[in-house]
Amino acid sequence: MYKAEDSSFGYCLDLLRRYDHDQFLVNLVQPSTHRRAHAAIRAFNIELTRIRHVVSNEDLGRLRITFFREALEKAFAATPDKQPVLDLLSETVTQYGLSKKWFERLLSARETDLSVPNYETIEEVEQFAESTQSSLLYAYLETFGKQHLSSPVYEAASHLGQSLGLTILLRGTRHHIESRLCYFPKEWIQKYQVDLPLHYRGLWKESNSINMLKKLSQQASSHLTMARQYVDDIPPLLFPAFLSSTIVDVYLAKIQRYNYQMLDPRIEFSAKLGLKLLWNKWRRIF
Amino acid sequence: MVEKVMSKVFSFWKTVASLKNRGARQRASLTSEYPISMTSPFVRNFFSKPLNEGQAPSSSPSEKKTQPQQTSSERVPTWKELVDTTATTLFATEMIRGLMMTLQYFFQPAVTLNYPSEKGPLSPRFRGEHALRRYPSGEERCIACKLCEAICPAQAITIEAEPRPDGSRRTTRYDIDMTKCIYCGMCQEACPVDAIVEGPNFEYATETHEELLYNKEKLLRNGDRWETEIAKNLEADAMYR
Repeated sequence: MYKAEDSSFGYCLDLLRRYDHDQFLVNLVQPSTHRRAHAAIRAFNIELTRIRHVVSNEDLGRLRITFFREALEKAFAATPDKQPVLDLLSETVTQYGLSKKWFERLLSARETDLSVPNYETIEEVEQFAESTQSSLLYAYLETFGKQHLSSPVYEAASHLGQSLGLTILLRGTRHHIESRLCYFPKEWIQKYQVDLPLHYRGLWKESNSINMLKKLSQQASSHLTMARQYVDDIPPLLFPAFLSSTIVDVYLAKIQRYNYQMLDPRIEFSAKLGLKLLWNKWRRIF
Repeated sequence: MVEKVMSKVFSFWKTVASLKNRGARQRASLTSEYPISMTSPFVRNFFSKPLNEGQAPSSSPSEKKTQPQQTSSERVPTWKELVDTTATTLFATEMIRGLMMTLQYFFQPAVTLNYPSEKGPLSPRFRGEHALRRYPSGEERCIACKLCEAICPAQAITIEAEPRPDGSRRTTRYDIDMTKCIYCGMCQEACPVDAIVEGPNFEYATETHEELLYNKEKLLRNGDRWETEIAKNLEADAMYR
């Protein structure tokens, strides 16, 4: 079995702490046997997500995605490139025998996301959220043993991933408008008669997008409710994997409290998130 | 009312007529009007036109109607007047105004930089001298995927690689011809492990061409030297998608 170098886990954790602090906190409340796997999967996601920030044109982004696609093959063959994230990922996938399809799905979703987002319906946005966040959840759930995974578990993970993805997009609105990106579906823009130029200037009330923001947060919380309906069918062993739901709860509440003023920097940081994660872990709920 | 208009029109015609034979009358009046006895050709040429000739006769008829007096002015200053005016404008006011400006800037903080010891601000995306980075563990980042070599539009990068005894693939040669490089930053963008970067250093002028042909040791040394700045510049926001 392939064994990653000692420094790789530290590097992945550092990557999480810097770029994906919420998941870093989630990583801290995972069972100690699974922290390496969680860090590897999430750090791989960071590597892919960062591509969009780094490259100046789509083709260069594709080049990097292609590299990671080939690197994934090598990681599954237990002969990874000497890069800490791929190193740790290789250890994880060979140790737990994870399926490759979830990572491939993540890769193709990120590749599509390199171009300007252009979603017609809310289902397409949910699809994107599912193929990124839910894929990561499925992959992580497999590390607890495939025998525990039944269809309700997958259903719950699908809904949780969607609500997490939508929350991330909602929180990111402020950063998307900086580069004139709009992750809201066209049908909503028409339905709420959103004035996009005003939306890009961050005038939520004047551009009517405040209703759209509200609707997106409702959508995210309804997915979370749907995920929680399956709570009785999920073995308690798997609960730590579902702790990401706390992120959705905390940030949706925060956005609501500040009345959907997405430019407010306070909605991006929650000091209580770490404590809430710990509390939910003790109470064994999600 | 009619009279007023008529008188204006009349004065306009008078102006036009006087303009027409201006040159002749001036030549005739030179000796009589000027108190100067010098009649050298230079002086005559200099004074043969009124000083305000540039602005006075406007070509558009509407302006002539409104300000006919200006165009007919043919008064030429005397030497005394000329000297007085020049002295007043040049010495009495303009010099003092200029000196006041100097004095004002004397008390203001300097806007210039004391260059080699002080440096201007640089964008975090500034593309300067290249560097090869290392992981915090000390291992070099480059895994010889050759994407930078492939993407480089100036073909300034040359890479040779072979596997190490422990099985990892590393470069044995990583050369950048800094005189070919066009500093487009494509290598940095293509690198999937963030190994090759264009750092913030722009002071690497050399005396010979050979010194600008960088090899792997030089690039790694650059990386060690500039790691703090490079890491800070690469720092991005959290992820929002």
